[in-house]
Amino acid sequence: MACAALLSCARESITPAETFDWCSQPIAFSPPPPRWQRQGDGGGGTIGVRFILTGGGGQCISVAAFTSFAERDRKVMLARLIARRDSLTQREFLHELSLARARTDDPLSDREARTSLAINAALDRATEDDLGAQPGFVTSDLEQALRAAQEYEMTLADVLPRVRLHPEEMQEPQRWRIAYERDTVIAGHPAFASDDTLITPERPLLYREVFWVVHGDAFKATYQGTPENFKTFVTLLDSISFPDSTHAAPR
Amino acid sequence: MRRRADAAALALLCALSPCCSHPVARAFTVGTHHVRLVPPAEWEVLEHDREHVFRRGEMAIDLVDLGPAGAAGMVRDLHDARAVWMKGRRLDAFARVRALRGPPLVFATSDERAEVWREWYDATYDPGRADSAAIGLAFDELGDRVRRLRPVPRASLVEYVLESFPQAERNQIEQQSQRPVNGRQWTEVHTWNRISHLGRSRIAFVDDGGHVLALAIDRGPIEITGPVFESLLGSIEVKPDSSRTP
Repeated sequence: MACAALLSCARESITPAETFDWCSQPIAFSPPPPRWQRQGDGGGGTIGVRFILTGGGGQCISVAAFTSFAERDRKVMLARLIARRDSLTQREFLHELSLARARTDDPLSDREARTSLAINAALDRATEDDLGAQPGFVTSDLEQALRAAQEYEMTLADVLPRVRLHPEEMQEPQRWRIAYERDTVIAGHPAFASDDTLITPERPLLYREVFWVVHGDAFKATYQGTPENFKTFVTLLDSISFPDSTHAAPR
Repeated sequence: MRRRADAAALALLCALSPCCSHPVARAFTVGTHHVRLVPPAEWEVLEHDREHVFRRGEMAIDLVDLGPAGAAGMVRDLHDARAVWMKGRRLDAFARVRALRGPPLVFATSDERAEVWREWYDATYDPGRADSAAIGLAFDELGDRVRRLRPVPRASLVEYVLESFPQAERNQIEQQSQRPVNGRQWTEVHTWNRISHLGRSRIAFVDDGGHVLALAIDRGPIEITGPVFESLLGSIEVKPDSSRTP
């Protein structure tokens, strides 16, 4: 009997890895066993998936990508604009130029602010040169904008102050107990982990968050549950890998 | 005598009993395609010409004629429209031409599309007054221009098929493969929700003489619809070049 239970437990802990394309950097991991019911998870600038333990009284695991940060990256947009430029009318091109501008409000860091200003300055020149019928200069301006965008890649240090748990910003700050913070590694990439506690009316629950950034895309994994189920979260974290971005499915 | 009567009773009982019944393949005409397949037991079949629906409760699987797969199929549709025109049904023929679609036209640039239609609409912008000789020439010209459209790669054909099913359009391709089914090479696509990988579904299609025949899960949980889809797909026999048969 005990052997069967062990076997079933071992079998339950291993599920095939799935690759998710929430942003330009795909992420692969083995989802928890089926008793953790799956749901799509969006909102708060993230897209991801949440696994809720059936009958677990609010215990859940989630993995998500910060798409709000990914949208600040202008590299893909500028590269596409350069590729499509010849097939656009002047009106369409100027419209696309305006959409390619970088955000300058609320920068994540001084480096990002400088990059955004450099991109926008190059795009301003591209607009002037296009209106001045100087197509050669427009090409050069667009390439400068792309080079400026490529020089910046978001790091964990840039996003951490924004994404880590701040109880005072939560609806019921008294429910959160901040405990330990530590540096760790996820699939060879530096990560930040916090080991906190969530006080629920029924019982205190572990509240673990891990944040990391890969190739400029930020991710987080969260565990909210009892110590007994914590190993499921650890198994999921251990299974995380980052396939080449060319893996991304076309749709 | 008694033994013979027992045997006859047993045979009758067996014939009436569900355990002795075998699934029976039925012939269907789906748009231009003539197929034989085994309908799933306890699922009703709604035959709607180009779209047949296999339905049970809230679950549904569609077998659909999606029209031309390429320029050859589009030219064939134009020939059909021309035949209607030759019978004196001018407005019906024009309506058929207006409904002409296919991957090469969908994936053409707007300039290419305008070029395809230019001569046709120059000749037929006023259907009541259009000269018959001009209409004949416009049919010829339209056919030639359709033939000159760039053929689409297989990936674009898959995209075209997925876009024909609104429930699949927002999904992501999980995997796709080619598989032979009763002598035909079908393309099978598994899809799922991009965010959560829930909402799994399946679509399979075959190029049958220039027209696309597609089988797709429309509604229902994959745990139930998946095996039914598999049995339907496994049983489909598409008559050779059935889309050429009137």
